[in-house]
Amino acid sequence: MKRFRLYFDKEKEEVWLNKMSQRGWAMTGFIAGLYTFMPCEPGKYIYRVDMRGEAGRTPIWRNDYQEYIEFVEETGAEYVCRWAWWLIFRREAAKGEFTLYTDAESHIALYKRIRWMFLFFGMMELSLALSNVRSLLDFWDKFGYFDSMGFVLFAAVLFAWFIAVGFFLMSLKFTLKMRKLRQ
Amino acid sequence: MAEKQAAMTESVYYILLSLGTPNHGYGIIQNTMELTGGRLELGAGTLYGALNTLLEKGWINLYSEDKHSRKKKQYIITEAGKFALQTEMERLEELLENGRRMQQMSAEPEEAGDRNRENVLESAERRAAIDEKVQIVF
Repeated sequence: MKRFRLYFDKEKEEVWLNKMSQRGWAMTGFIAGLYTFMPCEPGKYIYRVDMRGEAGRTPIWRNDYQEYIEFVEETGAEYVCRWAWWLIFRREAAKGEFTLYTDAESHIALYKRIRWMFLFFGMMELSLALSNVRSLLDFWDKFGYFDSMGFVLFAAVLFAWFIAVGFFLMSLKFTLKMRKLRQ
Repeated sequence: MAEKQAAMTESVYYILLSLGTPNHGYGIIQNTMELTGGRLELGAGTLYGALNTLLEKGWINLYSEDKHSRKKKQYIITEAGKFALQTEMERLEELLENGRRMQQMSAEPEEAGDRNRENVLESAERRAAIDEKVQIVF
């Protein structure tokens, strides 16, 4: 079974994956928003979504997570799949509670990585969105407001702004999560 | 430069305790579970990060890394790590001692006051001795 979903918040994604597992659907793959599920006994697995990259420092498709993956698998978990810096693991629920980060310090470090990612790409998206606005204004100057190409360009500009604002909101959200953990 | 050692997280404390003999990741998790009666199960992400930090600090070393035989990496505590652990244990002991003394004081307020004053002096001396040791090592 395939399902299409886009998640900004990995915790919501986790909740959804675990709900699917409760219903007898074990997630086995992910490509650009498309999740693959296979039938399983209801509640067989606990899923965890992990993030290991540092924006600006780790190449997005860096391939040396093998050591980390083996380390996690040593604890009885199973590596499911990877999308850029995101790694998904699962462990059979029969083996007990499955958590990757068990103290506040490392949990905060994880949130920091995620927040930095959103800030980093938020800033890139923002500079793109700004330059898009310039080209949109140029376009309107030359061809007027009602050219059909102008509508496409306008939609693209709106979309870029939407993503930029979304990323900044997400980095704010993870700041709040961090603050909650610190208390 | 001599800096006072910050309090250790529970995870770091138990990792160091588990590395008196060479041990690998899963062994550390199991050992910690046993020592805490199942209360503390270190997560793999937490443990992996902590091990790398401890390696950087020089508190632990790689014990064996056989790249060809895909054997699990083993770690062992270093002298600096042992010293850090000792310092932390002394700090924890002080916490406990002070806690117990305060409990006693609220039970028998008068005579405990004097004892407390003596003990404050004594623990200040001990603190100075530890600081001196830290300066020598780092």
